[in-house]
Amino acid sequence: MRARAKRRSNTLSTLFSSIPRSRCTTSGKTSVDIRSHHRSRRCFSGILILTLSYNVYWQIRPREGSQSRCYQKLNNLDRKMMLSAGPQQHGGPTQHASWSPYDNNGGTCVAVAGKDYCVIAADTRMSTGFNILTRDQTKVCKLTDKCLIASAGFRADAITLHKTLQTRGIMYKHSHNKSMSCVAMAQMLSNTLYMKRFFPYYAFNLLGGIDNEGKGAVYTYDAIGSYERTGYSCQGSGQALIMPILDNQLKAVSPLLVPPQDGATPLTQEQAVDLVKDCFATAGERDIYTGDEVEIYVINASGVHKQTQELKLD
Amino acid sequence: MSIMSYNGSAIIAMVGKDCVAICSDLRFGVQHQTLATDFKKIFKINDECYVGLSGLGSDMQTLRQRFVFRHNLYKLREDRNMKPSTFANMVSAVLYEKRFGPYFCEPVIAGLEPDGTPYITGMDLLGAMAPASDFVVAGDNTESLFGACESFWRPDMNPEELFETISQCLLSGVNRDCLAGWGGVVTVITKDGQFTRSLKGRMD
Amino acid sequence: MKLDLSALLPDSIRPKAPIDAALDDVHLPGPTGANFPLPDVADVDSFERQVVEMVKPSHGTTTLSFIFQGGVIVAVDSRASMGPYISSQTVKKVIEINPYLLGTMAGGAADCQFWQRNLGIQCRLHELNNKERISVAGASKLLANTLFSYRGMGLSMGTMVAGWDHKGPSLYYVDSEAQRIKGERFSVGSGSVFAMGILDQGYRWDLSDEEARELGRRAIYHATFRDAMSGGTVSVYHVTKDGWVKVSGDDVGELHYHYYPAE
Repeated sequence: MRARAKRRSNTLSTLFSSIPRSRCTTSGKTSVDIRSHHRSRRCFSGILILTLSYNVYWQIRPREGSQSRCYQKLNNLDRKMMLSAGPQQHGGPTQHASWSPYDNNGGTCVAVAGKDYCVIAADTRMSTGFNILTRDQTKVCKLTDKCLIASAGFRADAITLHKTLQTRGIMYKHSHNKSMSCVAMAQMLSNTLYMKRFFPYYAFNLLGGIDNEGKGAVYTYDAIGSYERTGYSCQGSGQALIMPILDNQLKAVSPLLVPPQDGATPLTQEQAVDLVKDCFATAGERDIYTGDEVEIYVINASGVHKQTQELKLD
Repeated sequence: MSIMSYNGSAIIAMVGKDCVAICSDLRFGVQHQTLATDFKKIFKINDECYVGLSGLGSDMQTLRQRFVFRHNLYKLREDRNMKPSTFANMVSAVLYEKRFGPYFCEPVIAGLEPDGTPYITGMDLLGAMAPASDFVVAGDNTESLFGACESFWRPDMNPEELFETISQCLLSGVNRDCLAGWGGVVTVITKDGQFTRSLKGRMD
Repeated sequence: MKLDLSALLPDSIRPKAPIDAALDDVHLPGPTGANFPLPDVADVDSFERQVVEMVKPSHGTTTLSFIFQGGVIVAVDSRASMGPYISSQTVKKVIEINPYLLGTMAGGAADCQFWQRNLGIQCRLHELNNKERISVAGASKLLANTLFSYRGMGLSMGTMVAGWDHKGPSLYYVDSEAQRIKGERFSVGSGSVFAMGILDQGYRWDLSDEEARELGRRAIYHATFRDAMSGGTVSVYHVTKDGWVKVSGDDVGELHYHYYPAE
């Protein structure tokens, strides 16, 4: 226990001491070009997030030392009771009554699936409360060559989730000698989210890619893993603003209809990208958590292509 | 659940070229249960002025009666109709009278001023006016309505274009809202008169 | 013949069926598996309540199911809402567990999706271990047992397990309080009161297949009309001795004007 506490403080001090150091490297230079300035900003925000997720980790990690292996064998209700007895009992750190493991960093993601392409986009603003933490934090993460994920909500949870999915994607590739399909990735994301049913990832996810038949696919999730394949979707703080626009312009046919009807989005790739840009312009106008820049990824047979579009900075 | 979304409502007012439009959904419910699907939430004050009331159904009716009463008194004293901006100020005053026990209604006012310029304004339940030059929305899910309006509205629409736009906005907006919808009603006001049309919508 | 009582033994000493053993390195949460991490906060209950506020899991539904002379009818709507906002109009609320078993979904969408998929796995394992299909009673009991082990944890499910087995058609209601009831007519969800009104009014044992399907469709349609949280598409399934078939899927936007044409 003590050894771990020590290690913790070491790591923390390393983290904190690295902040001024990274600042020094850029500001110490006589001339700072824009590129390096950018990098230092990203670096700073990176550390900020690390610290955040580290804090979370520190506070929530079950202290396996004090609770013996029989902890695992207890039924769920007993585990809950044990936790409800309070952490103080076990000599852990004292928890402030108002402390919450969650924050909401806002942001909006949109995805549109076409016949042979998929557009997935997210803004790059990261906020907390009324403050903007950074204007260039990406929400999109490439999982495989044909599959991207975008997550709004709590950035620390989203990063953890993206990292988990990426890792498991790589492990899959090593053991099966092929990339994970988009459909499999979608199911895995659902399971990964549900495994934290009682302590959810506070992230709202969209998965976009190309399925095994070469068609565009969009999967939309709630925070605890309920998911559905759709023709288009939107998640995050601008969801209610953007969804009616997409409904109006795309009107995906319900896959539940009997006899089934063709539900593919009639738009060409260029039209879909334009529509997504319009959507973000709208959300940027009314939602304070959406703005700065939107990153638009187009996935098609020739690979993943990225473009960006400026949004309002206010 | 907030008292403002107890009965469910959706209202939009929009400005065109020398014309304005105002529309509402038709649902009247008690929380999740739909009781009526012919409950109009926009009311005619005079030929050049309409008011839409969103929020609690009972206060909606009380307020409408009070507004008509005040408007009638004005007509008797002045022998002319209230212009929309005057009416809006009166509405604001009536709401603020009940500052510490408010009516649970957010009004939307739309009309043409005597010189023919369009006038629309929204208001909170205490009477704080928020005039706009493009569109105003009110109801239990304003975000969906805002999203649709923000991307479909453009300046200087003629009455028919305005009707089409406001209808699309209302239907797209309420189709993402559990508590509003079940059809709609649109009124377009021009200097040559008004027309009212009902909209066929999803009934779920 | 030796009676197999292994199910009563604790997990640790229960002899493993060969299939189960092979699945050991697949990390599935077992029915009583304590694999879900819990937050290390002082008050778990109020934490879970806050979580529900924050993540707003999808809710609101009308589902119904009834047995008649021709088998079992299962009918559902397809809306998912988060508060007053409609998050989807195209949710698949009938979960096809196997060609003879259907589950319906009401309550938390993720809970239903995950545990019915898990039930599908358990049913398939039963089939592989015992060389015969699981009965509806057995399947519903598996689900009820799973849910019993999570009682009080805040799961939210109201499901019907419907199917055809060696005894003929059968129908069970199972919910997250681990209640399990056998019956011939159930309706679950926020719109269930409206659906039940139509269902009771029109139900007879000797309904023809077409009448029964229409009754299911109509009951759900009326629920979508009256209940704000129900809507989207009405799906109707029919289970017979040959397994289930999806007999219809109608958009309520059009179905309403089919029943009541606009003048």
